[in-house]
Amino acid sequence: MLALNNHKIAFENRVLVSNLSFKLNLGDTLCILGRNGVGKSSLLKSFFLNNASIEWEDKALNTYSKKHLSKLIAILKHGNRPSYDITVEEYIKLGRIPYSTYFKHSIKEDEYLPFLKVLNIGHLLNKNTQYLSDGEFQKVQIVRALVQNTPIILLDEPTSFLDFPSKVELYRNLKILSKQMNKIFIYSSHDIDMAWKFSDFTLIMDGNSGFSFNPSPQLTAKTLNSYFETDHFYFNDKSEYIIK
Amino acid sequence: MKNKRLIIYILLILLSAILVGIDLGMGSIALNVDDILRGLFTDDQLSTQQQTLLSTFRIPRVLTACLVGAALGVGGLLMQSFFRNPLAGPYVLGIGSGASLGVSLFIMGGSLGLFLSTSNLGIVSFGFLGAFSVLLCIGLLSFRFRSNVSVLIIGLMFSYFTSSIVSLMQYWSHPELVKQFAVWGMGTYTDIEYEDLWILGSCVSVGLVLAWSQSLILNAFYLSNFEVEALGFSIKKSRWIIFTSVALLVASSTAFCGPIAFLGMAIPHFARLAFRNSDHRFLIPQCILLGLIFSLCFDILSQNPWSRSPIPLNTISSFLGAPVVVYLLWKRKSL
Repeated sequence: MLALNNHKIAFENRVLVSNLSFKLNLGDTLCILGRNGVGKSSLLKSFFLNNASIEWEDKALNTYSKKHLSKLIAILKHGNRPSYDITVEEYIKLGRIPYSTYFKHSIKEDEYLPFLKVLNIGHLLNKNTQYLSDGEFQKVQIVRALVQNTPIILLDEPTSFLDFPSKVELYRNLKILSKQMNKIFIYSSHDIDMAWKFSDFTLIMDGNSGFSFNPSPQLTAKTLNSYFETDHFYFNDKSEYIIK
Repeated sequence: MKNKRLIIYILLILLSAILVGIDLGMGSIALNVDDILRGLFTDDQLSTQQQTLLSTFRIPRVLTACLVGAALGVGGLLMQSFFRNPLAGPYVLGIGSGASLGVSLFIMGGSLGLFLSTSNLGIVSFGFLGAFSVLLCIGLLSFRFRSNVSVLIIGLMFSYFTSSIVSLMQYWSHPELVKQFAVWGMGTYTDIEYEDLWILGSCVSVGLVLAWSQSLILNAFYLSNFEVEALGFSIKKSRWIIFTSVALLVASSTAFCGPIAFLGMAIPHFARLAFRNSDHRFLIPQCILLGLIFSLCFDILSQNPWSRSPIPLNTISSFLGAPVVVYLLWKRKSL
């Protein structure tokens, strides 16, 4: 079980969020929403930086060694294409580095083939990552994180470069994978109209130490409006967004 | 695929052995295959002149070519992978310019009343001094900066800064000393003696071992910095090891042979394209192999088999090397 206890994030002396507490079990997905600069990425990064108030199996993360942490939490940041020729297979293999030694850095087919099948990208295995579309590369990145074989996977704005159908597909895939493989997925997103519809829990932050944490089905239009409503749009009773 | 790679390896090793043989024969007085084999592997008498030629001049020169080729190839690979920048080379940290500054101080400082002698040892120690003081500055400054790009820019600024001092010294110096410095800057493998070879050899070996020890984190650098840290690495820690490795490789080769253009930037691209490989555990040996092959080729050509006067190494390496890289990239695009 993953637990945050009065977690606090500050950026250059400004407190972005404080007293943040929640618990997630294996198989849960959490969607983090909020406008630019409220601290979504900082929250994900804090799992590695100031992680004393985050606990895994009742032990604070800062008591784990870096090596151990690499078998506990994987993170992926969208849009970072390698600058050099590297095939999808080699790229995926990078996720196995925590389990590698200098003389043995191999990966067995059954360690990644199932993921390729779920995400439907088996045909890309020998392609150069530089020539993939954004949607294809996004899936490759997810497989890279999955083979790291960690119970927790953090995704920093995974849909930011994807078209609409690919976004829906990705959120659906994350939901399926979390249940199938019993993993915790935490993703930040700007898709306030739909990202939370695929997650078990939703955290909304306002960047001013205010936040709301709810099971996603209980997220109301009122809550959404209190964080996102502007002069130009709002959420109606069915939590659909309406342009004014 | 694996077999194909093995065949490439074997062919390249054979090729480098042949090149070593050819290079041993090259120089003001040509030695033929028979002489070289007898001189190297038997107790048969060559003429005294030939024996001296082989053991005092040729063997050190050929070993230097191999060491410098390997050092610059791997140094370039480390910088390109660490900064995720295909244009980076072993000199981007400013370590090469540091060596230049040291050497220029030593050679041309004389005319400013600073030093009197111009011994080989002096050039080398000042080259090292310059290179490692730049490394120290960059290392200390890099504590303040998380971003690799800042470090890259600082390295570039160091190059500009040192080259301004160097050009000022050239402006003030005696023309003869300026020429001596210019000749050093054109690169040569010839001035090395056995005692020097020990220093060069141990610096390069330690540098290569350090480089290989970082091969897994260098693989991780295909990902973003945060993903690298999440794989269990400390970027700050390995930054020091990688920089030290590059400093050893670059400082030693630059101090002894001058800055050699082209090799460091191009060899890693050759290795990536020729072996279709991205794993640094193999890329490093591949860069060593290709580095020494190209280095030997350039040395053979710079000995100028067609006439008696040698051509400066840097002229050859840039003139022939640049089109080859363009060709390889051209071929890759069409894939």
